Amino acid sequence: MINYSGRTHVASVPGAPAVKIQGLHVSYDASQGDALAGIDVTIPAASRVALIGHNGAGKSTLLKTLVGLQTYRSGSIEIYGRKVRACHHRVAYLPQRGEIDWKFPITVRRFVMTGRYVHIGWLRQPQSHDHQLINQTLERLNLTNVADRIISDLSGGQQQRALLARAIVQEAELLLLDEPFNNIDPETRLLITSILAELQKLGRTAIVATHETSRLRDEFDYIAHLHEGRMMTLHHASDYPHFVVAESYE
Amino acid sequence: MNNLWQWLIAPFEYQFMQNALWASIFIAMTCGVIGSYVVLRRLAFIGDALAHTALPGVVIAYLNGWNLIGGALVAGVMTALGIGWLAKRSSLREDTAIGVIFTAMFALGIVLMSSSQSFRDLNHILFGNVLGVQTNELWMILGVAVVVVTILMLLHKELELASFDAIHAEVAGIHTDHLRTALLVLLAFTIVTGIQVVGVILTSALLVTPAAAASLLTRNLRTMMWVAGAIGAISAVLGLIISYHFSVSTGATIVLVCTGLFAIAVGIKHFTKQ
Repeated sequence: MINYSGRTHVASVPGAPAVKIQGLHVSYDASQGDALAGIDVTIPAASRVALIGHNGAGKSTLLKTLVGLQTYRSGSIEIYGRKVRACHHRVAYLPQRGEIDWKFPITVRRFVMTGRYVHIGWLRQPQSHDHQLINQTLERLNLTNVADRIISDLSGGQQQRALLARAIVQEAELLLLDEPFNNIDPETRLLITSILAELQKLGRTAIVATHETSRLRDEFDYIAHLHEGRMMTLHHASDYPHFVVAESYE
Repeated sequence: MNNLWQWLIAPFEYQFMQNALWASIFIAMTCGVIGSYVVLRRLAFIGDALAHTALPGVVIAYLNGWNLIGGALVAGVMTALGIGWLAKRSSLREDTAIGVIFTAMFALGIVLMSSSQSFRDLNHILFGNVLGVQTNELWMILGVAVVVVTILMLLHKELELASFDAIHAEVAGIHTDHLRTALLVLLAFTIVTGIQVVGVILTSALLVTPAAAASLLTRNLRTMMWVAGAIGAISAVLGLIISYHFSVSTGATIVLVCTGLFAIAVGIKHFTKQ
């Protein structure tokens, strides 16, 4: 296999947290100041974390930095004890739906298969075990009946499920989901949260940026509260919403 | 029936028409295949720019007695790399930067042409001269077609992914800017051969029109590429036959046939939708 980045598989550090961030500073443009400044947080492995904060607080920036799409100015980030992008298949990122060209002529099945590309690499085609995994995942996400349709035919909820299916087939240890609950039906939300719970049982970690806070206590283990890109606190979900109110007056 | 067949094959009794037939088929098919990416990635403007910026390369090669196609290739590839560089570093919007550069390069080509005192010879570059394709040039055109289509097939899954979701491609470790530059270089090679058939001014039609027609007929990228190639090839053959019998410009006729097929695709799409 010829890897996309030229890197080979790097094992996680045993016992390391899923994410460890220390003194993180991120800026898009030096003249505009930091989008994230002095963020410190440690997220345990095999947990479900909701990332909350106001619009513009830096939730998407943080997720993009964790996956290596955004460079950081200073500080350190460890993903399972390794540097960002040390191993490409370890982290799956679900962007906001608007970042994908949904009018592109590609079937749902092939769209989901793109999650396997990181394992397939240059010049190779998907093998039978890849196709088998795709079929199983499509079935789990109730997408089998639309598998051979073009992605533009999907509803918002189906698009979100296709994105999650793609992340699942990547077999990543850390899933970063950017606003997956936006404009979806209640059934899809329930399906997504039940799948995140299944993945947690397999030892996977999920960080979900969201401003849909109605069921956070039931759906997550921890809540990471990002304050205007300047401070981040991690709480047990059972403490929600008391800490948000308390921190608003600090 | 016999008369129609005679009418169709009559032009190809001559060697130069046979060369023109194969050259235009190879080029139109390649343009159709790569044109699918041009259409889906919204690169039509860049395609047009690459065709126009080949002009100064051709003129400089002509003035120095070098190979014209070689001159066009150097200019086209340099432009492709320059656009890739600009897209990454410039604070200007990409289409603005391209608009500035390609018009300047085209103007430079025209100034050099007007100073060479042989403007008529270089008219072929502006409007194409497929009837003048020599056998050695035909082999070069075939070589470019095989190389371009082979590389596109080998990189298909990555190009497809980067076309609709560059973020996921980057997360997987694919350098999408390198991939885009590679696509532009292949585009430059295709366009330079396309210039021989329809000239600098109409080359983008061979890239865009067949692929646009194919996009109306199929919703599968791979099928779209082959349908676009077939539409390009049919346009080339019909264009040659019509231009021969009516003594009109070959390149322009090929483009008009292409446009006619696009109109038919629009009609098919319209009626199948109802």
